[in-house]
Amino acid sequence: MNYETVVGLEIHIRLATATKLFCGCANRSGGVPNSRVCSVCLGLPGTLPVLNARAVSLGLRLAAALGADIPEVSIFARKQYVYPDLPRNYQITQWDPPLAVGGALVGGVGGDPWRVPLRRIHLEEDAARLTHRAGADTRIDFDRAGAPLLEVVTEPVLRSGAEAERSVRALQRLVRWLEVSAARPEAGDLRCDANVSVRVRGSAALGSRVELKNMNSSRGVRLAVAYEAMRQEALLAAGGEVLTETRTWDPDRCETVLLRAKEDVPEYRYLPEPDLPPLRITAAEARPALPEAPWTRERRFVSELGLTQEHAAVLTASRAMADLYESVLAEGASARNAAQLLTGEATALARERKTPMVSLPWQAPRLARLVDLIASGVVPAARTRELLVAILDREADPVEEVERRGWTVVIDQDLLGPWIETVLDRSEVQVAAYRGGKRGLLGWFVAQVVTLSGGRADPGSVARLVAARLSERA
Amino acid sequence: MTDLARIPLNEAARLLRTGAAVPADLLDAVRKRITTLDGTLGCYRWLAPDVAVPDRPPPAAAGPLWGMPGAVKANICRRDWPVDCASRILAGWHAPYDAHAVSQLDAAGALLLGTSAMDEFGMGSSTENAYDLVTRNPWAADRVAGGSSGGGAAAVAAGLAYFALGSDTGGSVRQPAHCCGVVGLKPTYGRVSRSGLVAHASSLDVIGVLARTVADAATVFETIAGHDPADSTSCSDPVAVPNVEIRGTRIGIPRGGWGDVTSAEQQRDLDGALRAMLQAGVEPVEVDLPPLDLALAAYAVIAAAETSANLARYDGTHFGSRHDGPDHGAAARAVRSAGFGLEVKLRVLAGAYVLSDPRGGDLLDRAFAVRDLVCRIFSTALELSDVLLLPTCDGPAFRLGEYADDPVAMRNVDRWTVPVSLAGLPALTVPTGWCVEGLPLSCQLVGRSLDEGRLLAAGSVVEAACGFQLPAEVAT
Repeated sequence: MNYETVVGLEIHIRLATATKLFCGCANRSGGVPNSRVCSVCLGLPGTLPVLNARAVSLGLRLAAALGADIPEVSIFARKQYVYPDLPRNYQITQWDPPLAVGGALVGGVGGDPWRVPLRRIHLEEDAARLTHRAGADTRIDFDRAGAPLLEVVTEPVLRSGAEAERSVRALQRLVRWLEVSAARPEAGDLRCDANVSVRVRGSAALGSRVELKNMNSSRGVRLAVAYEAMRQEALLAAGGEVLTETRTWDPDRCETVLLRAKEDVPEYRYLPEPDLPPLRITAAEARPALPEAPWTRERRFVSELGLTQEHAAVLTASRAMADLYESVLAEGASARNAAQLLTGEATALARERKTPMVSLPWQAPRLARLVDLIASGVVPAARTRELLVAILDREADPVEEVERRGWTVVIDQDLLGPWIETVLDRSEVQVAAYRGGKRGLLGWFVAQVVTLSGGRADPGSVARLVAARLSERA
Repeated sequence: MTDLARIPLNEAARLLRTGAAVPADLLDAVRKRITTLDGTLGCYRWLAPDVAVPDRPPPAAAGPLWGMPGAVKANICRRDWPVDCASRILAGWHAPYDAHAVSQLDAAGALLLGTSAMDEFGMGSSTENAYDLVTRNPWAADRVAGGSSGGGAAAVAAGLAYFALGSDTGGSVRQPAHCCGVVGLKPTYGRVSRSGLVAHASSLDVIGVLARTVADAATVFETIAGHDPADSTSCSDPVAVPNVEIRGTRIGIPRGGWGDVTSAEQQRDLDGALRAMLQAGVEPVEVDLPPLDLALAAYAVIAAAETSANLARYDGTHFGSRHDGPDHGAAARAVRSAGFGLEVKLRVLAGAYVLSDPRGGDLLDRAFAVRDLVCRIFSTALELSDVLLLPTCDGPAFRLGEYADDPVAMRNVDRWTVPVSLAGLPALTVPTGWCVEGLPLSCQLVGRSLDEGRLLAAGSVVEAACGFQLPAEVAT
């Protein structure tokens, strides 16, 4: 039987606000447990939530960038379930209508476009962090309780773990691009649930749905979805039945594990939140000023600047990267050569220094001059790394540096002549072989000359002169 | 000479201003009555061991609350006080912060004596629903003080406090005021911050005032009202109680009168109040009222739904009374089974039922629809008139234990007050007279949203006309 996987994602993004969603406690992770709590986020009697306006505006930024519809009024509700990670035993979340409806994640704009429609985007508060100690008690850290989350829910249109991973990555890039979230998976800024079902290919009905929880990275999403689809297919192929249940991803054992069966699914008893008036969004607020979207920029880099799809993708991995690239172009550098420099040597150097590429103190005018020096053949490409180091460590100007160190490419026949003669003189065997017909040795001669010149000799000129010289003696 | 502890707050303030008395005199007088009477009445759940009494005359800028002893209902937070809401589940819990209203009283220089008795979490109309304390009516030992703010009402009536803060969800300030013969003000929903008021039914809860005179109620109201950024439902409109000219005010009377008021004496007092207002130049207008029984049903649904969510947090995990169990669920069940009283459990269960799909969702939606209807009908009535004249209750305070076996029937006591709460309107209970059984009666005035000024002005007219007097001494 030929099966098809159907996946919908619920992605929780921790917003980059200074304070929590409903109180003044700092919205950070790490540090001493229970050091960022107050009466409000502990849900003590008599306390009331006050909505963080910054969280709303960040949510609207993302919603607008995703092309979602933003209702004039959205409401908060209490989602009730009893669990020690919920200080009030209900979570304040947006119900119907939510902050935004519809919109889509898009990608592959360089040539293999894809689009994942969204169902809804809403604000909600995070729960506390529980630490279960094997054979002992459970510790509760309320520092995370009340942290602002944005939940993005996709339509169930994804067909594989890889597609799910691609969507999560695209969203991760976008929220960082918009400075809506730091989206660090290791800090729990990005957490994913996936609804996975399989069905016979071509069938219209959906199979029994399994909810997967606890994926903290895009890679985890891919593996969990792939594993779960395989598990369900195997069950069906063996004549079994997939049960509607909630499973959790165990990254260590690389498998999904039953969390609760259908009959244990909590009934949330939603109640409109009486402590928060309906959230009203003005027309102006629903259209925030946004930077050019990453996919728009990526497409432009390919279509207008003639970059390869790969270069365009790397250069739009972050807004800072794209800004750096375009600031180099603004200094007059050629698009392709600048792309080559930034995605090549500059990225390699950053990796070597274990520093994000965009955090290094590049200076656009200097990078642009370096691109020029290499592209015009004034400086041998082999000097690129040294010149980048000089820019970073000594704020050196590449043009001055090249002059000072005498790295200019030599094309003058009078200067190249002595180097060529020296090489030919010590290479009798190769000269004889070349003249005997092994024309392929030309490159070897050129390399010898370039090395002898300390990299300064222009390989093209050398090749021309060597070829002429050897034919003349014959 | 009249007992110093029993004069109105504004008269006592005058004595302080003129130097005829110092705050210690007022405090001593009140404390003396607490010592002799509270064992019988049960007004206070807890008394603060140390009340800082200013030993100097009032500063020039001091208002009438300066140096004035008052009581705070046991569901309104004061830092370090045992704010247990008369529930075993909060026994031993001390509030870590001050309610907004309490901070305002502090700033005005009031002396807060302790927590006043109440029904558990404000659920009840008799102040019998506490795990440990019942308040008695000061004027008849076998009668209730009303509820749920019964302790505060009895304390103010009997001279154990000059004023009290209460809370009113469906009548919990107005009905005990009626039972004890004091003035009870339920402000517009959102007028007084709910920050620090332990939630019962959040869309209905209002902090209110119990006082001996309309002027005293106005004084406390002006002090505690106003915008508070900590409460997102608090109004930002300025608070002012101007001297409203009552002449020309239109008073709304239900079409056909108060036909279904069951007590003839209550009927007589309402007629008297109306006559007094007419003599003061008020014009009568007939208006339609919302269906009281439907309003009561909608209230039961909405209040229960909100209650069940509000009380979900009491599971012993990180505050309040604790219980051991094999797992969190078992421990929470044990804490809640032991910690909540019967009335609270009934409402929490009803709320959970209301919110359970699929039928509950529909119940709640229908209740919201009735609430909208109630608001619209009141809104029309208050376009035709400026203030409505209604009873607070059908009759005088009932007997202790009278509804012990019928908690649902007890809720019918609130049928005149609940609809007003659903609409969030301000209302004022003013004592009008005494029934033959020696118990006070009252009328309830209802104003437009945020129009407490006119409401209080109308209340003063009724007060002056009725000449209501409290007895010289408490019944024992």
